[in-house]
Amino acid sequence: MLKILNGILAILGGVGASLALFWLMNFAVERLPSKWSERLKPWVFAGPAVLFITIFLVYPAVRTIVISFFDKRGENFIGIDNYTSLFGDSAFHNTILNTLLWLLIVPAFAVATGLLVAVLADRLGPKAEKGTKSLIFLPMAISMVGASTIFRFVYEWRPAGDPQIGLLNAVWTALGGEPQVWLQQSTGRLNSLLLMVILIWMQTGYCMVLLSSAIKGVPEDTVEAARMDGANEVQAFFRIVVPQIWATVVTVFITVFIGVMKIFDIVYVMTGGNFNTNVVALAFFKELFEFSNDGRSAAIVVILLIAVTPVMYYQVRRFKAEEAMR
Amino acid sequence: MRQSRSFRLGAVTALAGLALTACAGGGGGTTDDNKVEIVGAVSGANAVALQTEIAALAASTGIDVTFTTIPDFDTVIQSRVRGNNPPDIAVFPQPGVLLDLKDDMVALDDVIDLPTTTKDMIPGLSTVAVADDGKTYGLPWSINAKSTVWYPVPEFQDAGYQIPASQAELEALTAQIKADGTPPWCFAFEAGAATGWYVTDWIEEYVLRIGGPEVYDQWVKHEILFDSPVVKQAAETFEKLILTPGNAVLDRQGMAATPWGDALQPLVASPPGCFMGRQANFVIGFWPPEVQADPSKFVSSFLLPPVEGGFDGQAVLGGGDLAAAFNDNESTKKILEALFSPEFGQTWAQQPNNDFVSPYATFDNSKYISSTVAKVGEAVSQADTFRFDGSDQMPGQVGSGSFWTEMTAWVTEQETLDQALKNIDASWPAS
Repeated sequence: MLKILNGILAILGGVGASLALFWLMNFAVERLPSKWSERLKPWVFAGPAVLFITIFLVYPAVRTIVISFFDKRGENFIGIDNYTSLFGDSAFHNTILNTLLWLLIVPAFAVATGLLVAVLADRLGPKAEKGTKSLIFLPMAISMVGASTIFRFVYEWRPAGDPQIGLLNAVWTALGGEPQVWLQQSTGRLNSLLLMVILIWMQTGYCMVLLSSAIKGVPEDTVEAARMDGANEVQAFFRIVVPQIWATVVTVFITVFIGVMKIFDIVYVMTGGNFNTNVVALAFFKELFEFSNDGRSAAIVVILLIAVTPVMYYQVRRFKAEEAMR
Repeated sequence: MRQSRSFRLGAVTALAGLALTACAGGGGGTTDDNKVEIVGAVSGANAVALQTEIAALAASTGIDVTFTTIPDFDTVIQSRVRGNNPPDIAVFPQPGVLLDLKDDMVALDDVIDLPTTTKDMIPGLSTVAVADDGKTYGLPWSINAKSTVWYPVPEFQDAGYQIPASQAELEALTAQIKADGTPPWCFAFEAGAATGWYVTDWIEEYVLRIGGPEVYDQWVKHEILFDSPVVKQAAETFEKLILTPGNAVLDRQGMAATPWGDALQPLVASPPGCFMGRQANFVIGFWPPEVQADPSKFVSSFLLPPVEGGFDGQAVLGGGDLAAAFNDNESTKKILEALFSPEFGQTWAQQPNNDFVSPYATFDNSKYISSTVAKVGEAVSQADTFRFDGSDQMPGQVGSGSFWTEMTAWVTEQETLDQALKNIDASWPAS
C-alpha cells in the first residue's frame, strides 16, 4: 500500500517537476531579446530529449565499445584480444554463419509470403478477406517464447513405436519414415531452417498487413490502363503494382531484418544454441549472464553494432530521400 | 500547429517524469536491523519444505530470517550484487558463480569459527569454495549425492541380481540384465539451454574413479587437459556402459531429445522398463506421487562402485547448495552459525518431498523422512571422499558452456570424442 502511494507520489512529483522546469525555462527564454529567444526556444524543448538520448543511448554505446577492449571483469585493458579470440573460435564462426543465414532467409521469406497473402486476400470478398487476414495476423500477437513452445510440440520426438505427438513426426511416420529428432538434424542446417520457420510464421502477418494497405493504395486506374494495353495479371503485378509499393516493401524488409539481427528467444527456448544453431544475440547473452565475461560479451555487441550500421545508414538515407520528394 | 506543439510538450514532459520516477526507486542499504535475507535457487516442493526450517530458525534465534527463491538465480544474483543490492546470505548451487562474486563477499574465516564448523563435515566439502587467496567464501548447507544408482524393488532382487562392488561387476550385471531381455539403464539428458550437464556428471564420475581425487582436482583447475588419457578413458567407460546399443532404453538421439526429469520414469514402472539409473537423490521428486509418498516400496540404491586400478575406496560425486555471506553483522553471523551445524536441516528433512541431505557425517540419520533417503545419507557419510560437481567449479565458459555443448555434440555423434575434448580445451579462458 505504502509502495503504491510512493509510486503515485513519485509520478505526480516527477511529472509536476518536469512541467515546472519546462515552464520556467520557457518563461526565462521569452524574457530574452526576441532574436535570442527565437534561437534558444527550440533547444529548451529539444535539449532535455537530446540530453536523455546522450545519457541513455550514446554513453552506453561508447562504454560498450570501450569495455570490449577490456578483460572478463572489465578491469584490465587487453587490446583486441577479445576480438581475436572470438574470430579464432570455430563455434563463433558457426554462430556468425547461422546469423547470416537467418538474415538472408527470414526477411526474404516473410516479405514474400506476406506479399503473396496480401495479393491473394485482396481478390477475396470483403468478409473472407477479413477472416483470412485475421487468422494470418494472429501469430503476431503471440510472444516469441509462446510461439516456440507451440513449435516444440510440432517438432516433438517420441521413440519409434510410441504414438508420435509431434505434428511433423506424425506426418513423417504416416508417410513411412522413422521418427526423427528434428532439432538435432544439423545436416544442411535443417534444424536452423526449422527454427526460422517459426519466425517467418510470426512475421508474415505483420508484412501482410502493411503490404496489403500499400496494395490498396495503388490507384486502380494504373492497373486498368496496363490491362487495357494488353498486360497479363503477372505483368501488371510486377510492372505496375510492385514499383508503386516498393518503398513499403523495403521498409518492411528492413524492419524484419533488424528484428532478425536480435533473434534470441526462439533459439534459446528450442535448442539453447546446441546442435549448431547458435546465433549472435544468444552468444552475447551466454557470455554476459552465464560466463560473466564482460569484455567478450561487449565485443560481440560491437560486432553486431558494426553489422547493423550499414542497414541503418541505408534506411536513414532513404528516409531523407523520401522526405525530399514530398 | 498550436495543438501539435502542446502535444509534443506533453509527451516530453511525461517522458521526463517517467525518467525521474525511475531515479526515485531503488536505494537502501543493509545495516543490522535484526533481519536476515537469504536467497537461493531452491524451488518447488523442496522450497516449501525449506520454509519450515527457516521458520524454526527464526523462532530459535529470534532473528527475522527469510528465504526467497529466485528463479534464474545465477543471472539475478549477479545483477543484484552489481546493482549494489546484495542479500545478506545467498545460497549458490555452483561454486564457480559464487567465487566470481567473492570480491563483494565476506570471507567465512572472518565471521565464524571455521575449523570447528567444518570438523565433522564429509571430507572434501569444506574446500569447495576456497578462493585463490586461501579463504573460504562458501560452505554447503545441503548436499546431493549424484553417485547414487537407483534400482527397482523388489524386481531387482527377484531377478537374482547382485549389487556390484566394482566397475567390472557393474558391466557384468549390465550384460546379464540385457541378456534377460530388459534394457539395463535409464538415461536421458535434454535440459533446454543446459542440455549436456547430465553427461558431464558421468564423465566426472569416472575421472574421479579412474584418476582419483587429486587428479580430479587438477583436471577441474585445467592443470590436466580434457584431451588427456584419463578423461578419454572416463568418457569411453561411460560410452561402453550407457551408449552401447541395447544398454539403455533410448538411443543416442533419443537421450538428447528426452527431458532429464523423465529419464528414470521407466525404472518405477511396472514391470520396470530398466533396472538401473544414476541420479542424485533429488530424482525422487520427479517420480509419480505414489512413489514420492513411500519411495522405499519402489526403489533402493547403491553407490556407483570403484573402478579397478583406479582410486582405491568409495568416491562420491555430488552437488550442493553453498551459503555465502555478503556482510558480517551480528544477525548474519548468528544465522551462519546455525546454518553450518549438524542440527541444521532436522525440520527440513522431515517435510514431504524435501531434497535435503546433510553435509555433516554426524547428522542424525533417523531424522530423514524415509529409509530411502536415510540410506543415501548414510552411504554418503561413510564415503572415503566426496568431490563436488566439477563442471560447477570450472569457469562458466566451460562448466556451463563448452563442456555441456561439446559432450552433447559427442553423444549425438555430431563430433568425435577427440574433437569434442580438444574444443573444450580450446574454449578454456586464458586466465
